[in-house]
Amino acid sequence: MKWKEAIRKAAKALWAAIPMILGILMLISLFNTLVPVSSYRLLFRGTVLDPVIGALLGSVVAGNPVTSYIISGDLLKQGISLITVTAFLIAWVTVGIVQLPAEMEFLGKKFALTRNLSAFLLSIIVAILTVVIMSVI
Amino acid sequence: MNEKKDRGKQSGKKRAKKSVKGRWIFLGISAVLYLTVLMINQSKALKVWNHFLHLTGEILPFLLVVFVIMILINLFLKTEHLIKYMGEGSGLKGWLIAIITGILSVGAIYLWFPVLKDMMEKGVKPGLVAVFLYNRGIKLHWLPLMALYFGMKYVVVLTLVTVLVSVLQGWILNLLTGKSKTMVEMH
Repeated sequence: MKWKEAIRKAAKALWAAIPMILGILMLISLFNTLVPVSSYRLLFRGTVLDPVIGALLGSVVAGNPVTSYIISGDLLKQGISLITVTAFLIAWVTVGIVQLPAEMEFLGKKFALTRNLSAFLLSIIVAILTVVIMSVI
Repeated sequence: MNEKKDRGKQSGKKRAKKSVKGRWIFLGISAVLYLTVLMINQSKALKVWNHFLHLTGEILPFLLVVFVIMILINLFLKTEHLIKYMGEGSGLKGWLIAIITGILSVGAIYLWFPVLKDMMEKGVKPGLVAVFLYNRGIKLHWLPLMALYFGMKYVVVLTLVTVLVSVLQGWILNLLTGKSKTMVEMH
């Protein structure tokens, strides 16, 4: 493939992705502005369901991972368990409800749904494994 | 035979047109949601708009990086190379490439979708795309900050567990989606 053809093809593919990217950015902006971070800790009740709630919250919110560290640090200080916080951290970076329409569009519905659902379940497994390993070493 | 080929091409074009339309509809829905907020609460809408502009400004340099990568893929990455290293029968090498490139990749996840689509169309296994996406969860440049919040021991254990579990996810994706028609067969 020649340079001109390669640039034209890349520009065409990127241009086609622009509406999806802008849509995702708008949804993230809406969510992050309208749902205050302080409301997150109200979701946790200190039950065995907390890691699931943590993973759900991490799946829905989106943004820079640093934000998730800051929120997680705050949650730990509030007495939320390390398993819950870890499930939240991992789901934040591996599951993407906001970008799910874009993922389905580009990579296929079956792939996107299977990947996100399995990533959600695995975030809880990662959390349990991490905390168990931490306690034995 | 040629008639069949033409029909295939036409349905492919129709599918692509529908897909482009769907992307603009998605953007339209996001815009309508924003306009709704604007009508209800203008100060919140201004905050949303500023956040949107900030995020857009943040991803622009990464878009340029993705653009360059896509050009390079078009120029140098031949279908047969991708199939050899990340396709059926690529073995351990394929998994390692997916893990390392996932960890080293930069920018927002959705910026990578067009690139990954291109690679899947060229025969890369869905499981390896999933491994790549899962390992994007490891942010090398942010690990020191993470260690500051949670301690080095936690960061090392979490990183190792993430890599191991990413392979499990890749295996699940290959198992559940690998048997369906691959993109190569569809095109």
